[in-house]
Amino acid sequence: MPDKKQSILLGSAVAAILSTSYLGIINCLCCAGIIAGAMVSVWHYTTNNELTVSAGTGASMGAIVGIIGILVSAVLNLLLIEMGVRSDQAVTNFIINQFGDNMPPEALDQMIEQANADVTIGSYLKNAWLGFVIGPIFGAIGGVIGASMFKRGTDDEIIVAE
Amino acid sequence: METRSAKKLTGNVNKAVLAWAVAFGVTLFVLVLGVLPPFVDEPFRGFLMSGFSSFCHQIPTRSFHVDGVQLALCHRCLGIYAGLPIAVVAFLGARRWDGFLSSRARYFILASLVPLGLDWLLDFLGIWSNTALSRLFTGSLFGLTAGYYLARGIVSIGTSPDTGSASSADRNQGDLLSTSLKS
Repeated sequence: MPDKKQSILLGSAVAAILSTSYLGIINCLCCAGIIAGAMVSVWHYTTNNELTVSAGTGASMGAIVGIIGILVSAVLNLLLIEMGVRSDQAVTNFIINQFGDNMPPEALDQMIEQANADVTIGSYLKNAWLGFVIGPIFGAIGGVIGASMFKRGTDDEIIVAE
Repeated sequence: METRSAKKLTGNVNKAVLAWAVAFGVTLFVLVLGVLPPFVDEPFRGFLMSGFSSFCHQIPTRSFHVDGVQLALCHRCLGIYAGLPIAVVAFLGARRWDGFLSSRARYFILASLVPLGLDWLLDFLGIWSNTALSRLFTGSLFGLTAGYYLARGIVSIGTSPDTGSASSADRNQGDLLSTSLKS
């Protein structure tokens, strides 16, 4: 059976990039960054090896991509925040500008306070912890979608990759 | 020989049930975390809100409130996250149509994204104003569809055969779960 490491690493890189800093906003659309990474992983695997994978194989590849992608993006985000790139602040300011007029005053105050707060490793991990649960779920969804979309070879040549 | 086959089948059934339980447990767990903020104290509420902030915009005017306290998920995300565990349960009952649903997975998933995308796009373009109900409903359509295929995938992880076509391997999963539920 062909090795999956390369495909998983490629998918993880895509998921990590799409979950980092300003690009991470894409994850507010049904975790699209994680789903895309998982789909890329399955696409690469099926294309390179000319085979079709089962939904289970797609789900497991996607779940791994979700975990690695979130882990790498967490490190990248921390590094960027240390360098002064505060995408979280920009997003919060955008929401305040767009929707602030209709917000309850206490919610608005809380958002302003949150935007102005310094980010430490502890406070960042407070934001990132749930990613390690949500990442694999949507990664698995992306993997299953990928398995159903990227079928390679004729019916007679279909191989279940384990 | 038969005993070995029976043991293998029993092992696969147990794995299928375990995999299904994991899929249901994890998706339900995330949903519960998302609706928990109004019912917990301030520090834990902040912890939950922060946790979901990377995956949901959490705009107060686009989220449900209980006693004036916002949920950690917006209307659309709530629909998606609620749809996932419901679909994992529905997966058990939809076995009869599993062949039809699995062979057209890509079309169903893409179709489930259309109402969600239109609901967002038409509002963004100013053609139509979406509502809490429309966001919740269109989100849940995607959640239900994704949840069904997620359940298939996760159950399939625990019981993947060594050989055979991917489609026939996928078809086996519903049968295994059905066998275990009857026994």
